Amino acid sequence: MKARSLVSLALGLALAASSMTACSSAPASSSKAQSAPSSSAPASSVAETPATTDYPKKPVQVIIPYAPGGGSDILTRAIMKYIKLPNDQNLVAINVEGAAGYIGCQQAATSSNDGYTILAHNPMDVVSYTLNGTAPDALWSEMEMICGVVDDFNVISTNKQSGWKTIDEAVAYIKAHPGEVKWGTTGAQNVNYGDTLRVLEALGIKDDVTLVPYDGGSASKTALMGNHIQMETNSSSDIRSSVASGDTIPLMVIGDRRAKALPEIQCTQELGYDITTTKPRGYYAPKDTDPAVINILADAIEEVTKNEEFIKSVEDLGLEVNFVRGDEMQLKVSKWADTLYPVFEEMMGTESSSK
Amino acid sequence: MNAIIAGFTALFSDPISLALLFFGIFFGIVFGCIPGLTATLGVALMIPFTFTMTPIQGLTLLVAIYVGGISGGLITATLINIPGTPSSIFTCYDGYPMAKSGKPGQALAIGVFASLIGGTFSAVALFAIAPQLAKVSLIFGNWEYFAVAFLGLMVVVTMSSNDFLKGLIGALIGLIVGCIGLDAVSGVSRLTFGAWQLQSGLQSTALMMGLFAIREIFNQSRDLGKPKMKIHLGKISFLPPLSEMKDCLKPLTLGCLIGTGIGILPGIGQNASTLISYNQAKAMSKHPEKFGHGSAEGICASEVSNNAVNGGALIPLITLGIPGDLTTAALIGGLMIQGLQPGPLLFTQNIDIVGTIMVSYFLANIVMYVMELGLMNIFVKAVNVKFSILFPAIVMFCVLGVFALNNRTFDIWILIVTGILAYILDQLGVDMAPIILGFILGPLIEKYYRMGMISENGNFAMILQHPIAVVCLIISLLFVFVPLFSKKIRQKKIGLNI
Repeated sequence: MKARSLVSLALGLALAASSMTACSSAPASSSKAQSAPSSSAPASSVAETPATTDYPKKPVQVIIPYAPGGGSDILTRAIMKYIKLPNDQNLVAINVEGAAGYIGCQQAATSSNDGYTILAHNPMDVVSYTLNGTAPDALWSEMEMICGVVDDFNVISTNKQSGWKTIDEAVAYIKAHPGEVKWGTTGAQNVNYGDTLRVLEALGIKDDVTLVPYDGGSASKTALMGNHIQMETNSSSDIRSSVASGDTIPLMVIGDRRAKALPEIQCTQELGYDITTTKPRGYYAPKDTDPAVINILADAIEEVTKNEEFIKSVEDLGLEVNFVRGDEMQLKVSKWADTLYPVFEEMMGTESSSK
Repeated sequence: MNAIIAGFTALFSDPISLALLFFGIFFGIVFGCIPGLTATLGVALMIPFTFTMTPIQGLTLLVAIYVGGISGGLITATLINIPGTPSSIFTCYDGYPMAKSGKPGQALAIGVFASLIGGTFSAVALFAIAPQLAKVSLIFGNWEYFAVAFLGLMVVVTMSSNDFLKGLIGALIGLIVGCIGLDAVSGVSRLTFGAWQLQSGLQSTALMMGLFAIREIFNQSRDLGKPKMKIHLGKISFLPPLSEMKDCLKPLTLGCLIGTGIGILPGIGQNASTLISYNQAKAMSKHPEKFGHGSAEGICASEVSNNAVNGGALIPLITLGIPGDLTTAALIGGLMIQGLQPGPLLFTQNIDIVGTIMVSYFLANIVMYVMELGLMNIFVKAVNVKFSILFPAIVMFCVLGVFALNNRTFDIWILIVTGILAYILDQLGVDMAPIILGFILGPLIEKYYRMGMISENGNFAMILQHPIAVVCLIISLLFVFVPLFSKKIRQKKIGLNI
């Protein structure tokens, strides 16, 4: 008993210290609102759960649901490089790929919620597993969101062969030549496909193009370069190098703001289309992980996102830093999920009727 | 040309890079020749270490592991009939019989020599015409990929000419097993029986090691009590004997072209290339009956193409930023970790990086050749240990490698269960090669066919607008019908009923 209370005292001190550092170094601008709950939450959780003491006592495993060397993998390894966890502990990357990120996600969801297994994932992909029926339950809302770290964007682009320079030119051609243009997506029944349907609807060309779901962003990009498709919806990070070389011409960004990597390209929101889904990447913990643990991790990751070197390496990947605490992220994601739900219903419906 | 000079300068001005080249090849060969530990795993494991190196050092190391790893697989394939790496599966078919007939040194020398030829050919292609070849890879759309994969599947006829029915059974098993998991086009779960672990399908290294390593260990374990034949290497010559090589010009040329060609097509992969090369060589050989019984042509066809794929796969990587196979996908990570963006701009902005990849690839092939011949005696000693030590060690490495590739214990079960089922099938006379064929090519054919159909709104006739696809389909039909007829004629001549 005595030992336990001593340990919990130590935890309290550690937490206080970590939340103090988080507060004192919080940037003046955007994260003010976020830092307020961060300082109050650990205090309350200490009272509730005295059992979690000097966390972490051993390295924390991060499941990366993609192969080594992918964008998600490199992002997490960059975080591992800069992160400072209490007790001099580290993150350890575990790559578990398969089924477009689902295998690693499910493996993390079924892991012990002791705080020593977390998941690096794109919330909108996790949402799609549920909406398209791959996952039996709502993994994205059941798991605990630790935080969002960076944002990526889905971008509507064409190739240099088409000659189109603006989205209006493309739409005008498509309307004049219905059925001629092929439009690639990064998969079927994912958010990329769902948002493409919504954009096509908004542009009034839904029945005038043929959608071709490719097996990932790289395959779609290659098909666009070879002019097998004339338009595509692909992520900003995937098309970064081909945009730089002039092979891919970005026309419109899907999101509530412009992408920093493509400052001249207008976004759907400013053009008056109500499609605001970005492509955040963040961290999850298994269901019912101690909130104190989640706060320790979120604080440590937030520190990393303020590191200049880290920000630079994120920009090299074609992404932009956008740290968002778990609760706020979950709120954002669930709003997007609500708007996507009917789109997925329709997608699944046409799938089964066409069979 | 500038790239090559820049590459040589970068590499030779940094002794650490050169040392890493040698280390990488050695590490790669060791990884390649141990069944279960693959080139992909070797590269993936080394990527985190390249974080702290300069880009030149890191890339030299990764390219060297890649070359050593793919080539190293032939050693165990030849000496103990267990492929060290999945791309050496077809080397088993001829390397082992030749080694068993008392010519292990010769079998190894032929394999290593073919590796050198394949690697060097694709290095030259990489040096000379990489940007042009990259354009070729862009011409390939869904229909072209479909037709190439279909052509590959049709060689099942040449492959299973001994027992056509059992060949078909094998191919069908492979096709069914390949269906397991989420389908790539519409995301429907197939044959998973509600197990989420199966949504990603069967992990291919686990399946192949089950089929070829675990099964073969079961097979050979029946001889455990008997005294073991020691392998005597004899004298090693730097070049394989000319008498053996005189028929090999054709498979070597063919393998170079097929390997490099498939390498530049992202989305077909290394294993499919060896498979197609081996069976094409068999179909076009003057002595197809020798294939599977220690044919030098067979060893050449397999080893030349799996090494030619390496250079081919590097072409879309450095020119377009698109990985040609699994291992180059990991290499892209090696570039990105250094803050370099693989793609068209790499050629103009980071010519020294492009040059380093080219030059280290070229040099790695030569160093690999010398190193493998030099270390031959050590490898032979290693496999000459008692079966009771060798086999458990191999099983251990298979389990380790299969687990480490994706950090899942589930894959270990796939390895073991596949091994047991494969042994039963083997006893029933079903060859493993058609199973692999169906497993690798089935999903490719399905995916590209369905995507082709989607992009043409269900109109198959649109394939006529794709001449490459049409030519491939015509050749594949010839593959099916010509041997069937010639077999009938032959059988009539010797008075046999079918």
